[in-house]
Amino acid sequence: MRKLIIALTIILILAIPVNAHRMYVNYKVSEIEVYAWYGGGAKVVDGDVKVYRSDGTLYIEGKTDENGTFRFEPEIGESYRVVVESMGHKAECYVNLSSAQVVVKEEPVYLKVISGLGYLIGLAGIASLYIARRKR
Amino acid sequence: MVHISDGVLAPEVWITGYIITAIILFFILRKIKAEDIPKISIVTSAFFIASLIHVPIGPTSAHLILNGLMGILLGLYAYPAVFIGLLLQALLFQHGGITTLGINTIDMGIPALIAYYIFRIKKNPITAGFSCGLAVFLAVLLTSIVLILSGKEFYEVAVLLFLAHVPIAVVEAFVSAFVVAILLRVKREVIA
Repeated sequence: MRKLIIALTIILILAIPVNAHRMYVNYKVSEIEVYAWYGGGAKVVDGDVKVYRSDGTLYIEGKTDENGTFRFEPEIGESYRVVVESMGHKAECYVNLSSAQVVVKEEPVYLKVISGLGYLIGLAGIASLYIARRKR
Repeated sequence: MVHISDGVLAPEVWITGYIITAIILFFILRKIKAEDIPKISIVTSAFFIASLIHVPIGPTSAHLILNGLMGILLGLYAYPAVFIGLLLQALLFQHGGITTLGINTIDMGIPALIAYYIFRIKKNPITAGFSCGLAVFLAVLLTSIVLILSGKEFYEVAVLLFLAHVPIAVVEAFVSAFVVAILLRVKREVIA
């Protein structure tokens, strides 16, 4: 056991200089591409895009292209609120560059459809129950 | 795109929308009978799903509304049906919004009731097609008015919405005419 500890210590000491040759990789975000779509997948073309800084001031504005995308150069370390508006529709997302990751998840449409139908059956049940009670 | 999202409208507008919708719902819901519930539910589910059928047109994408057909099939009950359908669409598909639910119900429900009254004059597939096409345009008109009340540029919005909904109105007119033609032959009592 004692030999093992000594051996490990030696290995660790030997290993330390290796750090001096460590390679680094890092990233810099030079452009943000936002993408706007309607539920179901249709692109939002020519939607008004407004990008706000974290303090609420307007950073940049523009319109989405034919692919529903809009690009802007961000300042690193800032976080942005992107608001897209088109024909009475409005949606927003947050771009946080301290973590530089935007996660947009959308459940598959068929799940939503099934749950909606489920709600309807439930509502119909509640309504029937209510009406049946009212009759009495 | 007759669904207006949260945050687009001024509070006065959507609160008024809720008040109007609540009053209409109050009077209609008192009339509902237990045996009407299954029919209302089925038509509502069709309406709920119809909004997923998208037709890409120009800068926007329009989808089937089916409000006219709801009016024809449900009569006055189309209004609560539109309300429930829109609530589920807002919650599950993020079509429209929760604050704008009252306004959106007006925009789609009132034309549904108008379609019903037009269809009642003469119950045949042609009036059905006509009233359903009209219901789409009335929905667009009401939506445009609401957007203007909240300070959007009228001309741009109204023209774009109208153009986007011409194909929708045509498709709906045909769909409704066929549905009504079949129902008149096979199950006449279903039609309000």
